[in-house]
Amino acid sequence: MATSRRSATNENISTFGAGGFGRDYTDVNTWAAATEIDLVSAAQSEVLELYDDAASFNQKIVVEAATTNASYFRIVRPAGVKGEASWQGHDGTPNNGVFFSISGVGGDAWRIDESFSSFQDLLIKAVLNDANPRSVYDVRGADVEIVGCIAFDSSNIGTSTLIAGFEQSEDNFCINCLALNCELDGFQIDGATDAYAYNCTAVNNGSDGFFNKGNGTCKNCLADGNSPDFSGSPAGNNNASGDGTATGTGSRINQTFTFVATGSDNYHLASGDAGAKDFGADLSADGVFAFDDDIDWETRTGSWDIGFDEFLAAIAFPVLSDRDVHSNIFGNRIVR
Amino acid sequence: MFEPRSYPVAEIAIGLDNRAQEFTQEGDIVAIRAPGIGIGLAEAKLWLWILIDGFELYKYDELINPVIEPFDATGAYDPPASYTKFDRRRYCVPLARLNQVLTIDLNRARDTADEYQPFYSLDQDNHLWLTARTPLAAEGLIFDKVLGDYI
Repeated sequence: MATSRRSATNENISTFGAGGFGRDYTDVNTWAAATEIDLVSAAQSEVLELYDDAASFNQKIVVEAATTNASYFRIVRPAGVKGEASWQGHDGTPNNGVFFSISGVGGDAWRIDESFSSFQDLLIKAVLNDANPRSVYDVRGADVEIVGCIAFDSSNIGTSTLIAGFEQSEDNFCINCLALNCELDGFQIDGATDAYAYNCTAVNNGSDGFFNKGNGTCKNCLADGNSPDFSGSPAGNNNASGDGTATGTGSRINQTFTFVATGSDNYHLASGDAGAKDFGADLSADGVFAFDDDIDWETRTGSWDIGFDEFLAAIAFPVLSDRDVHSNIFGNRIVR
Repeated sequence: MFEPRSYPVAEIAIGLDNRAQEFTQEGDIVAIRAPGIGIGLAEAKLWLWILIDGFELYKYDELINPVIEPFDATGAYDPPASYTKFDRRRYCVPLARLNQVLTIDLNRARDTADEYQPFYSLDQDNHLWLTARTPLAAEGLIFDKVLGDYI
Protein backbone atom coordinates (compact mmCIF):
# COMPACT_ATOMS: atom_id res chain seq x y z
CA MET A 1 0.00 0.00 0.00
CA ALA A 2 1.42 3.33 -1.04
CA THR A 3 -0.99 6.18 -0.69
CA SER A 4 -0.46 9.14 -2.99
CA ARG A 5 -1.03 11.44 0.00
CA ARG A 6 2.41 11.87 1.49
CA SER A 7 2.55 12.49 5.21
CA ALA A 8 5.35 14.43 6.84
CA THR A 9 7.56 13.72 9.81
CA ASN A 10 6.50 15.14 13.17
CA GLU A 11 3.39 16.90 11.91
CA ASN A 12 2.21 19.89 13.94
CA ILE A 13 -1.45 20.12 12.97
CA SER A 14 -3.37 23.39 13.04
CA THR A 15 -7.02 23.79 12.14
CA PHE A 16 -8.73 26.19 9.73
CA GLY A 17 -12.38 27.14 9.39
CA ALA A 18 -14.90 29.88 9.94
CA GLY A 19 -14.94 32.20 12.92
CA GLY A 20 -16.79 30.94 15.95
CA PHE A 21 -15.95 27.27 15.44
CA GLY A 22 -12.89 27.20 17.68
CA ARG A 23 -10.37 26.72 14.89
CA ASP A 24 -6.78 27.94 15.14
CA TYR A 25 -6.98 29.97 11.93
CA THR A 26 -9.72 31.63 9.90
CA ASP A 27 -7.36 32.82 7.16
CA VAL A 28 -5.00 30.51 5.32
CA ASN A 29 -2.49 33.33 4.90
CA THR A 30 -2.03 33.87 8.60
CA TRP A 31 -1.18 30.17 8.94
CA ALA A 32 1.21 30.42 6.00
CA ALA A 33 2.97 33.40 7.56
CA ALA A 34 3.08 31.82 11.01
CA THR A 35 4.73 28.67 9.67
CA GLU A 36 7.33 30.29 7.42
CA ILE A 37 10.16 28.93 9.48
CA ASP A 38 13.16 26.65 9.14
CA LEU A 39 11.29 23.38 9.49
CA VAL A 40 14.41 21.32 8.98
CA SER A 41 16.24 22.87 11.92
CA ALA A 42 13.08 22.66 13.99
CA ALA A 43 12.67 18.99 12.96
CA GLN A 44 8.99 19.72 12.51
CA SER A 45 6.37 19.74 9.76
CA GLU A 46 3.38 22.04 9.63
CA VAL A 47 -0.07 20.89 8.54
CA LEU A 48 -3.23 22.94 8.10
CA GLU A 49 -6.39 20.85 8.27
CA LEU A 50 -9.46 22.45 6.75
CA TYR A 51 -12.99 22.30 8.11
CA ASP A 52 -16.13 22.69 6.03
CA ASP A 53 -17.57 25.36 8.32
CA ALA A 54 -18.90 27.66 5.61
CA ALA A 55 -20.44 27.36 2.17
CA SER A 56 -17.17 28.65 0.73
CA PHE A 57 -14.06 30.63 1.57
CA ASN A 58 -12.80 33.44 -0.67
CA GLN A 59 -9.12 33.03 0.18
CA LYS A 60 -5.97 32.47 -1.84
CA ILE A 61 -2.54 31.56 -0.58
CA VAL A 62 1.14 31.49 -1.45
CA VAL A 63 3.11 28.80 0.38
CA GLU A 64 6.75 29.77 0.14
CA ALA A 65 9.92 30.59 2.02
CA ALA A 66 9.87 27.88 4.68
CA THR A 67 13.01 25.76 4.76
CA THR A 68 11.92 22.23 3.91
CA ASN A 69 13.25 18.83 2.90
CA ALA A 70 11.75 15.43 2.08
CA SER A 71 10.93 14.81 5.75
CA TYR A 72 9.91 18.23 7.04
CA PHE A 73 7.53 20.28 4.92
CA ARG A 74 4.05 21.82 4.89
CA ILE A 75 0.72 20.27 3.94
CA VAL A 76 -2.74 21.77 3.44
CA ARG A 77 -5.52 19.16 3.48
CA PRO A 78 -9.09 18.68 4.67
CA ALA A 79 -9.57 17.34 8.18
CA GLY A 80 -10.82 13.84 8.81
CA VAL A 81 -10.60 10.51 7.07
CA LYS A 82 -12.20 9.90 3.69
CA GLY A 83 -15.19 7.59 3.98
CA GLU A 84 -15.84 8.50 7.61
CA ALA A 85 -18.21 11.06 9.07
CA SER A 86 -15.25 13.18 10.07
CA TRP A 87 -14.23 13.83 6.44
CA GLN A 88 -14.34 17.52 5.49
CA GLY A 89 -13.17 17.22 1.89
CA HIS A 90 -14.80 16.63 -1.48
CA ASP A 91 -16.25 13.38 -2.79
CA GLY A 92 -14.43 13.41 -6.11
CA THR A 93 -16.87 15.98 -7.51
CA PRO A 94 -17.10 19.77 -7.09
CA ASN A 95 -20.33 19.37 -5.17
CA ASN A 96 -19.24 18.68 -1.62
CA GLY A 97 -16.59 19.44 0.95
CA VAL A 98 -14.58 22.42 2.09
CA PHE A 99 -14.60 24.78 -0.88
CA PHE A 100 -12.50 27.79 -1.84
CA SER A 101 -14.42 30.01 -4.24
CA ILE A 102 -12.10 32.87 -5.11
CA SER A 103 -13.36 35.93 -6.92
CA GLY A 104 -12.51 39.51 -7.66
CA VAL A 105 -8.82 39.34 -6.82
CA GLY A 106 -5.59 39.05 -8.76
CA GLY A 107 -2.64 36.70 -8.62
CA ASP A 108 -2.60 32.94 -8.80
CA ALA A 109 -5.24 31.32 -6.66
CA TRP A 110 -3.23 28.75 -4.68
CA ARG A 111 0.50 28.63 -5.18
CA ILE A 112 3.41 26.63 -3.77
CA ASP A 113 6.90 28.00 -4.32
CA GLU A 114 8.84 26.02 -1.73
CA SER A 115 10.05 22.47 -2.29
CA PHE A 116 8.37 19.28 -0.99
CA SER A 117 5.18 20.88 0.36
CA SER A 118 1.78 19.58 -0.65
CA PHE A 119 -1.86 20.46 -1.33
CA GLN A 120 -4.16 17.49 -0.85
CA ASP A 121 -7.83 16.96 -1.72
CA LEU A 122 -8.64 20.64 -2.23
CA LEU A 123 -11.62 22.00 -4.15
CA ILE A 124 -11.09 25.39 -5.80
CA LYS A 125 -12.98 27.60 -8.19
CA ALA A 126 -11.22 30.83 -9.11
CA VAL A 127 -12.61 33.79 -11.03
CA LEU A 128 -9.58 36.04 -10.94
CA ASN A 129 -9.20 39.65 -12.04
CA ASP A 130 -5.65 40.11 -13.22
CA ALA A 131 -3.70 41.71 -16.05
CA ASN A 132 -1.28 38.77 -16.13
CA PRO A 133 -1.83 35.11 -16.98
CA ARG A 134 -2.67 33.17 -13.84
CA SER A 135 -3.55 29.67 -12.68
CA VAL A 136 -5.76 28.00 -10.11
CA TYR A 137 -2.97 25.81 -8.74
CA ASP A 138 0.44 27.30 -9.54
CA VAL A 139 2.98 24.64 -8.65
CA ARG A 140 6.44 26.19 -8.72
CA GLY A 141 8.33 24.30 -6.05
CA ALA A 142 10.44 21.23 -6.79
CA ASP A 143 9.16 17.88 -5.53
CA VAL A 144 5.83 19.43 -4.61
CA GLU A 145 2.84 17.09 -4.61
CA ILE A 146 -0.65 18.14 -5.63
CA VAL A 147 -2.87 15.16 -4.88
CA GLY A 148 -6.59 14.62 -5.22
CA CYS A 149 -7.26 18.27 -5.99
CA ILE A 150 -10.01 19.73 -8.20
CA ALA A 151 -10.01 22.98 -10.22
CA PHE A 152 -13.27 23.82 -11.93
CA ASP A 153 -15.30 26.59 -13.59
CA SER A 154 -12.33 28.95 -13.39
CA SER A 155 -11.33 31.99 -15.42
CA ASN A 156 -9.56 35.34 -15.39
CA ILE A 157 -11.94 38.20 -16.04
CA GLY A 158 -9.11 40.73 -16.12
CA THR A 159 -7.24 41.75 -19.24
CA SER A 160 -5.35 38.46 -19.37
CA THR A 161 -6.38 34.81 -19.07
CA LEU A 162 -6.44 31.89 -16.70
CA ILE A 163 -3.85 29.76 -18.40
CA ALA A 164 -4.37 26.53 -16.49
CA GLY A 165 -6.18 24.72 -13.75
CA PHE A 166 -2.84 23.19 -12.78
CA GLU A 167 0.39 24.89 -13.86
CA GLN A 168 3.55 22.90 -13.12
CA SER A 169 6.64 24.98 -13.73
CA GLU A 170 9.14 22.92 -11.74
CA ASP A 171 9.91 19.24 -11.26
CA ASN A 172 6.84 18.22 -9.32
CA PHE A 173 3.77 16.01 -9.30
CA CYS A 174 0.04 16.20 -9.91
CA ILE A 175 -1.61 12.92 -8.92
CA ASN A 176 -5.30 11.95 -9.08
CA CYS A 177 -6.41 15.51 -9.89
CA LEU A 178 -9.31 16.87 -11.94
CA ALA A 179 -9.37 20.01 -14.12
CA LEU A 180 -12.89 20.76 -15.24
CA ASN A 181 -14.11 23.66 -17.36
CA CYS A 182 -11.15 25.98 -16.88
CA GLU A 183 -10.66 28.93 -19.21
CA LEU A 184 -7.63 27.58 -21.10
CA ASP A 185 -5.55 24.50 -20.25
CA GLY A 186 -6.46 21.85 -17.74
CA PHE A 187 -2.85 20.97 -16.99
CA GLN A 188 0.17 22.89 -18.22
CA ILE A 189 3.22 20.79 -17.50
CA ASP A 190 6.79 21.94 -17.54
CA GLY A 191 9.84 21.61 -15.33
CA ALA A 192 13.58 22.04 -15.15
CA THR A 193 14.03 18.39 -16.13
CA ASP A 194 10.67 16.70 -15.72
CA ALA A 195 7.23 17.27 -14.22
CA TYR A 196 4.63 14.57 -13.86
CA ALA A 197 0.88 14.19 -14.16
CA TYR A 198 -0.26 10.72 -13.10
CA ASN A 199 -3.85 9.51 -13.22
CA CYS A 200 -5.26 12.97 -13.76
CA THR A 201 -8.41 13.91 -15.67
CA ALA A 202 -9.03 17.00 -17.81
CA VAL A 203 -12.56 17.57 -19.08
CA ASN A 204 -14.14 20.39 -21.05
CA ASN A 205 -11.38 22.94 -20.61
CA GLY A 206 -11.23 25.83 -23.07
CA SER A 207 -7.91 24.86 -24.56
CA ASP A 208 -5.55 21.92 -24.05
CA GLY A 209 -6.41 19.17 -21.61
CA PHE A 210 -2.74 18.38 -20.99
CA PHE A 211 -0.19 20.75 -22.51
CA ASN A 212 3.40 19.61 -22.34
CA LYS A 213 5.28 22.87 -22.24
CA GLY A 214 8.67 21.24 -22.36
CA ASN A 215 9.47 18.54 -19.84
CA GLY A 216 6.14 16.96 -19.03
CA THR A 217 5.26 13.31 -18.49
CA CYS A 218 1.71 12.01 -18.45
CA LYS A 219 0.80 8.50 -17.31
CA ASN A 220 -2.74 7.16 -17.05
CA CYS A 221 -4.17 10.60 -17.84
CA LEU A 222 -7.65 11.00 -19.29
CA ALA A 223 -8.71 13.98 -21.40
CA ASP A 224 -12.05 14.59 -23.06
CA GLY A 225 -13.78 17.59 -24.55
CA ASN A 226 -10.71 19.82 -24.60
CA SER A 227 -9.19 21.55 -27.64
CA PRO A 228 -7.10 19.47 -28.08
CA ASP A 229 -7.00 16.83 -25.35
CA PHE A 230 -3.19 16.46 -25.41
CA SER A 231 -0.56 18.69 -26.98
CA GLY A 232 3.19 19.05 -26.94
CA SER A 233 3.72 15.28 -27.08
CA PRO A 234 4.27 14.59 -23.38
CA ALA A 235 6.36 11.58 -22.45
CA GLY A 236 4.63 8.75 -20.66
CA ASN A 237 2.16 6.03 -21.38
CA ASN A 238 -1.39 4.69 -21.07
CA ASN A 239 -3.16 7.98 -21.65
CA ALA A 240 -6.59 8.27 -23.23
CA SER A 241 -8.29 11.00 -25.23
CA GLY A 242 -11.63 11.68 -26.79
CA ASP A 243 -9.84 13.05 -29.81
CA GLY A 244 -6.82 11.69 -31.64
CA THR A 245 -4.09 13.33 -29.57
CA ALA A 246 -3.16 10.97 -26.69
CA THR A 247 0.47 9.88 -26.98
CA GLY A 248 2.75 7.26 -25.45
CA THR A 249 2.87 3.51 -25.27
CA GLY A 250 -0.48 1.93 -24.54
CA SER A 251 -2.36 5.17 -25.08
CA ARG A 252 -5.85 5.22 -26.53
CA ILE A 253 -7.25 7.80 -28.95
CA ASN A 254 -10.72 8.69 -30.18
CA GLN A 255 -12.34 7.07 -27.19
CA THR A 256 -15.86 7.49 -25.89
CA PHE A 257 -15.90 7.68 -22.11
CA THR A 258 -18.88 6.93 -19.92
CA PHE A 259 -18.99 8.92 -16.71
CA VAL A 260 -21.39 8.57 -13.80
CA ALA A 261 -23.28 11.86 -14.19
CA THR A 262 -21.77 14.66 -16.26
CA GLY A 263 -24.79 16.87 -15.60
CA SER A 264 -23.77 17.08 -11.97
CA ASP A 265 -20.04 17.22 -12.72
CA ASN A 266 -19.52 13.65 -11.58
CA TYR A 267 -16.70 12.37 -13.78
CA HIS A 268 -16.12 9.09 -11.98
CA LEU A 269 -16.08 6.22 -14.45
CA ALA A 270 -19.36 4.40 -14.90
CA SER A 271 -19.46 0.63 -14.78
CA GLY A 272 -20.06 0.41 -18.52
CA ASP A 273 -17.14 2.61 -19.50
CA ALA A 274 -15.11 1.15 -22.34
CA GLY A 275 -12.72 4.03 -22.91
CA ALA A 276 -10.62 4.16 -19.74
CA LYS A 277 -11.65 1.37 -17.38
CA ASP A 278 -8.92 -1.27 -16.99
CA PHE A 279 -6.63 0.32 -19.59
CA GLY A 280 -4.17 2.02 -17.24
CA ALA A 281 -0.68 0.97 -16.22
CA ASP A 282 0.04 -0.23 -12.69
CA LEU A 283 2.07 2.58 -11.09
CA SER A 284 2.39 0.97 -7.66
CA ALA A 285 6.07 0.36 -8.37
CA ASP A 286 6.69 3.44 -10.49
CA GLY A 287 10.29 4.56 -10.27
CA VAL A 288 9.40 8.23 -9.85
CA PHE A 289 6.17 8.28 -7.86
CA ALA A 290 4.74 4.98 -6.69
CA PHE A 291 1.17 4.92 -5.37
CA ASP A 292 -1.91 2.74 -5.54
CA ASP A 293 -4.97 4.83 -4.66
CA ASP A 294 -7.35 7.20 -6.46
CA ILE A 295 -9.02 10.54 -5.81
CA ASP A 296 -11.42 8.84 -3.39
CA TRP A 297 -8.60 7.23 -1.39
CA GLU A 298 -9.73 3.89 -2.75
CA THR A 299 -7.04 1.33 -3.50
CA ARG A 300 -6.56 0.62 -7.18
CA THR A 301 -6.87 -3.08 -7.79
CA GLY A 302 -6.56 -5.39 -10.75
CA SER A 303 -6.07 -3.58 -14.03
CA TRP A 304 -5.81 0.10 -13.25
CA ASP A 305 -8.22 2.60 -14.77
CA ILE A 306 -7.10 5.70 -16.62
CA GLY A 307 -7.97 9.02 -14.97
CA PHE A 308 -8.47 10.15 -11.39
CA ASP A 309 -10.99 7.46 -10.50
CA GLU A 310 -10.65 3.72 -10.07
CA PHE A 311 -14.02 2.11 -10.72
CA LEU A 312 -14.91 -0.27 -7.92
CA ALA A 313 -17.99 -2.43 -8.10
CA ALA A 314 -20.33 -1.96 -5.17
CA ILE A 315 -19.90 -4.60 -2.52
CA ALA A 316 -23.02 -6.72 -2.14
CA PHE A 317 -23.80 -7.54 1.46
CA PRO A 318 -26.00 -10.58 2.19
CA VAL A 319 -29.48 -9.74 3.33
CA LEU A 320 -30.11 -11.27 6.71
CA SER A 321 -33.49 -12.26 8.00
CA ASP A 322 -34.58 -11.51 11.57
CA ARG A 323 -34.07 -15.17 12.26
CA ASP A 324 -30.45 -15.01 11.01
CA VAL A 325 -29.75 -12.00 13.17
CA HIS A 326 -31.39 -13.55 16.20
CA SER A 327 -29.43 -16.73 15.67
CA ASN A 328 -26.14 -14.86 15.39
CA ILE A 329 -26.76 -12.74 18.44
CA PHE A 330 -28.16 -15.31 20.77
CA GLY A 331 -27.12 -18.59 19.20
CA ASN A 332 -23.42 -18.06 19.75
CA ARG A 333 -23.67 -17.25 23.41
CA ILE A 334 -20.76 -18.47 25.42
CA VAL A 335 -21.90 -20.80 28.15
CA ARG A 336 -19.58 -21.44 31.00
CA MET B 1 -18.55 67.52 -9.76
CA PHE B 2 -17.42 65.73 -6.65
CA GLU B 3 -19.20 62.49 -6.08
CA PRO B 4 -18.71 60.90 -2.68
CA ARG B 5 -17.83 57.24 -2.94
CA SER B 6 -17.97 54.45 -0.47
CA TYR B 7 -15.32 51.78 -0.62
CA PRO B 8 -15.60 48.26 0.69
CA VAL B 9 -14.13 47.71 4.12
CA ALA B 10 -11.38 45.12 4.48
CA GLU B 11 -9.94 43.34 7.47
CA ILE B 12 -6.17 43.00 7.62
CA ALA B 13 -3.77 41.14 9.86
CA ILE B 14 -0.37 42.66 10.55
CA GLY B 15 2.76 41.15 11.98
CA LEU B 16 4.11 41.75 15.47
CA ASP B 17 7.59 41.45 16.82
CA ASN B 18 6.76 38.29 18.69
CA ARG B 19 9.30 36.00 17.02
CA ALA B 20 6.60 33.61 15.93
CA GLN B 21 7.38 34.22 12.28
CA GLU B 22 10.85 34.38 10.83
CA PHE B 23 10.01 36.13 7.61
CA THR B 24 7.58 38.78 8.80
CA GLN B 25 8.53 42.11 10.25
CA GLU B 26 6.44 44.08 12.69
CA GLY B 27 3.71 45.91 10.85
CA ASP B 28 3.84 43.76 7.71
CA ILE B 29 0.48 42.99 6.18
CA VAL B 30 0.12 39.20 6.02
CA ALA B 31 -3.57 38.77 5.27
CA ILE B 32 -6.40 40.80 3.84
CA ARG B 33 -10.01 39.80 3.42
CA ALA B 34 -13.60 40.91 3.67
CA PRO B 35 -14.54 41.55 7.28
CA GLY B 36 -15.29 38.32 9.08
CA ILE B 37 -17.28 37.50 12.16
CA GLY B 38 -14.27 36.48 14.18
CA ILE B 39 -10.79 35.01 14.19
CA GLY B 40 -9.02 31.83 15.21
CA LEU B 41 -7.40 30.94 18.49
CA ALA B 42 -3.87 31.30 17.15
CA GLU B 43 -4.74 34.39 15.14
CA ALA B 44 -5.89 36.21 18.27
CA LYS B 45 -2.42 35.86 19.77
CA LEU B 46 -0.08 36.19 16.80
CA TRP B 47 -1.48 39.07 14.77
CA LEU B 48 -2.98 42.50 15.15
CA TRP B 49 -6.26 42.90 13.29
CA ILE B 50 -7.64 46.18 12.00
CA LEU B 51 -10.30 47.37 9.57
CA ILE B 52 -9.37 49.65 6.68
CA ASP B 53 -11.13 51.23 3.74
CA GLY B 54 -10.27 53.40 0.79
CA PHE B 55 -9.67 50.94 -2.05
CA GLU B 56 -11.66 49.27 -4.73
CA LEU B 57 -12.03 45.60 -3.91
CA TYR B 58 -9.66 44.32 -6.58
CA LYS B 59 -6.91 46.67 -5.41
CA TYR B 60 -6.82 45.25 -1.90
CA ASP B 61 -5.07 42.13 -3.11
CA GLU B 62 -2.00 44.18 -3.99
CA LEU B 63 -1.39 44.87 -0.30
CA ILE B 64 0.12 41.44 0.16
CA ASN B 65 2.38 41.76 -2.87
CA PRO B 66 6.09 41.12 -2.31
CA VAL B 67 8.80 43.75 -2.62
CA ILE B 68 10.33 41.69 -5.39
CA GLU B 69 8.70 38.99 -7.47
CA PRO B 70 11.36 36.31 -6.99
CA PHE B 71 10.85 34.70 -10.38
CA ASP B 72 12.92 34.68 -13.52
CA ALA B 73 11.62 35.40 -17.01
CA THR B 74 10.46 31.81 -17.42
CA GLY B 75 8.45 31.92 -14.23
CA ALA B 76 10.81 29.72 -12.22
CA TYR B 77 11.45 30.58 -8.58
CA ASP B 78 14.72 32.46 -8.74
CA PRO B 79 15.33 35.10 -6.10
CA PRO B 80 17.87 37.69 -7.23
CA ALA B 81 21.10 38.08 -5.29
CA SER B 82 19.73 41.09 -3.46
CA TYR B 83 16.59 39.26 -2.37
CA THR B 84 16.11 38.97 1.37
CA LYS B 85 13.57 37.01 3.32
CA PHE B 86 11.83 40.25 4.19
CA ASP B 87 11.29 41.23 0.55
CA ARG B 88 8.20 39.09 0.56
CA ARG B 89 6.06 41.80 2.07
CA ARG B 90 6.01 45.15 0.36
CA TYR B 91 3.34 46.88 2.40
CA CYS B 92 3.13 47.47 6.11
CA VAL B 93 1.31 49.48 8.73
CA PRO B 94 3.91 51.04 11.04
CA LEU B 95 2.75 50.61 14.61
CA ALA B 96 3.92 54.13 15.36
CA ARG B 97 1.34 55.31 12.85
CA LEU B 98 -1.36 53.21 14.45
CA ASN B 99 -0.41 54.64 17.80
CA GLN B 100 -1.51 58.03 16.54
CA VAL B 101 -5.01 56.63 16.22
CA LEU B 102 -5.11 54.54 19.34
CA THR B 103 -2.52 53.94 22.01
CA ILE B 104 -1.34 50.35 21.67
CA ASP B 105 0.21 48.44 24.53
CA LEU B 106 3.12 46.97 22.60
CA ASN B 107 4.10 44.57 25.34
CA ARG B 108 0.66 43.02 25.28
CA ALA B 109 0.48 43.03 21.50
CA ARG B 110 3.77 41.15 21.24
CA ASP B 111 2.90 38.64 23.93
CA THR B 112 1.97 35.42 22.13
CA ALA B 113 -0.07 34.31 25.13
CA ASP B 114 -2.21 37.46 25.16
CA GLU B 115 -5.28 37.73 22.96
CA TYR B 116 -4.90 41.49 22.78
CA GLN B 117 -6.84 43.16 19.97
CA PRO B 118 -7.12 46.88 20.67
CA PHE B 119 -9.13 47.65 17.53
CA TYR B 120 -11.84 45.15 18.35
CA SER B 121 -13.72 43.79 21.27
CA LEU B 122 -13.25 40.03 21.15
CA ASP B 123 -15.45 37.45 22.81
CA GLN B 124 -12.94 35.39 24.73
CA ASP B 125 -15.10 32.28 24.62
CA ASN B 126 -15.72 31.86 20.92
CA HIS B 127 -13.37 34.45 19.41
CA LEU B 128 -16.14 36.24 17.58
CA TRP B 129 -15.94 39.98 17.20
CA LEU B 130 -18.29 41.85 19.49
CA THR B 131 -17.54 45.38 18.32
CA ALA B 132 -14.97 47.06 16.12
CA ARG B 133 -13.56 50.52 15.84
CA THR B 134 -14.32 52.60 12.80
CA PRO B 135 -12.33 51.46 9.75
CA LEU B 136 -9.14 53.39 9.19
CA ALA B 137 -8.42 55.10 5.90
CA ALA B 138 -5.76 53.13 4.02
CA GLU B 139 -4.32 56.27 2.54
CA GLY B 140 -1.69 57.68 4.85
CA LEU B 141 -1.72 54.55 6.98
CA ILE B 142 -0.13 51.91 4.78
CA PHE B 143 3.55 52.25 3.98
CA ASP B 144 5.03 51.13 0.66
CA LYS B 145 8.59 49.88 1.24
CA VAL B 146 9.45 50.15 -2.44
CA LEU B 147 8.45 53.77 -2.81
CA GLY B 148 9.49 54.61 0.74
CA ASP B 149 6.29 56.48 1.37
CA TYR B 150 2.75 56.09 2.52
CA ILE B 151 0.22 55.24 -0.13
